[in-house]
Amino acid sequence: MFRNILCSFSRLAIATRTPQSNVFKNTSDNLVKQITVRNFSLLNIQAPLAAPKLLENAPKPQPAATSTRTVTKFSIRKGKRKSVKAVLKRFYRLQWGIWIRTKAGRNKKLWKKNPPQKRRLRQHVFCNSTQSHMLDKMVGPYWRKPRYFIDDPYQPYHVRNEFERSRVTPKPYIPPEDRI
Amino acid sequence: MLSNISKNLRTCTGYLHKYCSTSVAAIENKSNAIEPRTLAFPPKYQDPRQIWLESLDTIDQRKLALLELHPAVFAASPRIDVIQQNVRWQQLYRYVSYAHTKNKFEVRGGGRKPWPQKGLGKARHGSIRSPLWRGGGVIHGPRSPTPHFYMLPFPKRLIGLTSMLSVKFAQDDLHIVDSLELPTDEPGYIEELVKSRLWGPSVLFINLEDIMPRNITVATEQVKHINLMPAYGLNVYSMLKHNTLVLTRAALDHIENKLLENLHMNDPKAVLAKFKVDQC
Amino acid sequence: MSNTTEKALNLLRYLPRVCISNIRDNPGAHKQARRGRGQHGGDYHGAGNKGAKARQSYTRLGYEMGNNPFYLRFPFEPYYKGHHLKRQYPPVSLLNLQKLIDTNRIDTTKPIDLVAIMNTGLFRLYPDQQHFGFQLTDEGADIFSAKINLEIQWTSEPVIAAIERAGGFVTTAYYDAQSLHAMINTKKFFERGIPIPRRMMPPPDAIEYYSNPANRGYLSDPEKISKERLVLAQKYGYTLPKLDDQILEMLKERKDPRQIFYGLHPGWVVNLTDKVILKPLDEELKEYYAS
Repeated sequence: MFRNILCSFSRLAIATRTPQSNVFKNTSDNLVKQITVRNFSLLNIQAPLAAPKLLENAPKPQPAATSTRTVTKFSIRKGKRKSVKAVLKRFYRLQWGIWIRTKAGRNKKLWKKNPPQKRRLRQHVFCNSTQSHMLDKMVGPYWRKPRYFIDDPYQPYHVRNEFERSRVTPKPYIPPEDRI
Repeated sequence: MLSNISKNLRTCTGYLHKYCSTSVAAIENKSNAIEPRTLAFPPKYQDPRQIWLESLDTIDQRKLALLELHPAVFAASPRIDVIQQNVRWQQLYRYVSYAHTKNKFEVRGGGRKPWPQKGLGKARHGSIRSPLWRGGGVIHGPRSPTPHFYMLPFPKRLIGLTSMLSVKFAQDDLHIVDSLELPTDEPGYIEELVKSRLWGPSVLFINLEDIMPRNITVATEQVKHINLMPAYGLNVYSMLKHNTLVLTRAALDHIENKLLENLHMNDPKAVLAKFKVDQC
Repeated sequence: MSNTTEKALNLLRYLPRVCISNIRDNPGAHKQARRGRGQHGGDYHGAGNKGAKARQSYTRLGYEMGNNPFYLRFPFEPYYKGHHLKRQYPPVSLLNLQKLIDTNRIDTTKPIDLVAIMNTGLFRLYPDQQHFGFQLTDEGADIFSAKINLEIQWTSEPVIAAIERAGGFVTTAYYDAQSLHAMINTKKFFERGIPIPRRMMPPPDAIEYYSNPANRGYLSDPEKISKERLVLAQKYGYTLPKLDDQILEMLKERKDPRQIFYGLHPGWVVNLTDKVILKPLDEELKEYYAS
């Protein structure tokens, strides 16, 4: 049964595509033909190997990396709100509305920092209300949906039942005789 | 204020009762097997209401049996505001406004700067059709065609129907007949019947199916104020427009069961979801 | 006994007939949407004079006039890494389950599976958001007392102990997205008229969980499961209760690994209008659906 499963999964494996190699393959075929016409028999064997190598090391034209920091309120195609990726790389939203972040400089110049300082830098901290509100506006509604992972380290922090103001579930009833 | 109205009207109703023709003596014998109604979702805290089962065989009213009506449908709170919202929805959801005003780009002319920016002592302008000008374009005016489609939430439509049926029953404008079979197809017969029974000028007959008996169809075709409707066409606006509502027994069963089923629905996800045109 | 409704209905008997011309909505229900024109309401329409606010030319959200903005100051942290790949199991607590049973929303005389929980109409599942079923949480484990044959998608050890202490059985089973869609809105699925599909096998990272008898996985050996029941009883300090033969038959009912609904096999077509089930006759089809 497990063998069948493994076979089925191998069938489902997506083949990786390398479009660049296809492009160079076409050009190298033409070059191979030219090379075989001009060079000796020994080189004919090696020519198909030589020609692609030349082109492989050529600098590949790449677009200049630009980052967009604006919040798109209405996308061109779907008319939806888009999230700012910079926010999602640095912050995490808890279900009760707060965002948490790491401290700046936690991996820098640790040799000159004393242990309590290093411990404080390792901690994750809350953002304040204004910052959380701004971050909420910078991401779409997908990031505000609750997530129910198994063994999620952040699972206990999504609900604040310790405080009366932010209780979500009703308090369990304890009869008077059992109360401390 | 309302107590004053009720005091004044009580004197009027005294006269009304005198003119009501109710022949109690002509009740059919029970051996003709008119089964009593069994109510779905039996009411726990309210008594069922009762209504006469009548017939259209003769012009004079004949009472065949007493039928029970579920209070959740026929004695529901008469929410006039919800009824009004239903009427407004029925009128507006299909309404398209064709009013149209031209904006500054659409008004003919106005491409050229009317006079130079400086030197003339006149106010600076870029076009003679800007909204500031007489004859210029209108900003945020009506733009044709503007649909006013919206869906009233399902619970409101449901309560609209139950409120309306309760209002009709409370005001004695609801009648149940065994079937819509008439002895003749003359319009005079049905007009005489409606007049003698004081059913009000306009009557709405509701049948279970859309294919109605021949005689009543022919008779009411010429009479504009007496209308036939299948049970699936029951709506608040029609019930308000017609003075009297007449249901056949089969239609009553169907309507009551459907309304009760929806009132006691366990999983309203499907009906509360946003209306999507391609998924209706 | 007269309450508001009865008073209102009695009042209607003395009032004129309700018709289109004498009904109205509650006062203040409708506000006329009219654009202000002229001196009051018009002119700048509440936007004041000039400025970015009136001209909608604000700086972008988060910009701090050139200095390093707040949302760029901090180092990367892979908080959301792999979030789109992980499976999610919305929680249902044992307390919830007990309440549903006590209020007759769930029938304990039949096996309880995802379909039974969805039929209560109180829980929602979105397979497109990587929801793969419900997980049973241990809130209410000390008061749980119902003999049930439960099939859930994920659970933990104290929950299994609580259910078995009460005299019930638990099984953890995997359902793929297509099966879940069929189970969430079964009526809609049957109206599509397609044959019931086979339930897919769990993905590689889930096979271990569902083959483990300690988790009461549906792919594990039933003999090992009964051994684990004894182990758990000893661990948590309770004795496994004896069961009547009548209930035992129902409690023993389990689904085939390829089966989605109780009583229906893959390949069958359910016709709701004619109230008929169509089964495949072709050998090839039968072989495929039985594999």
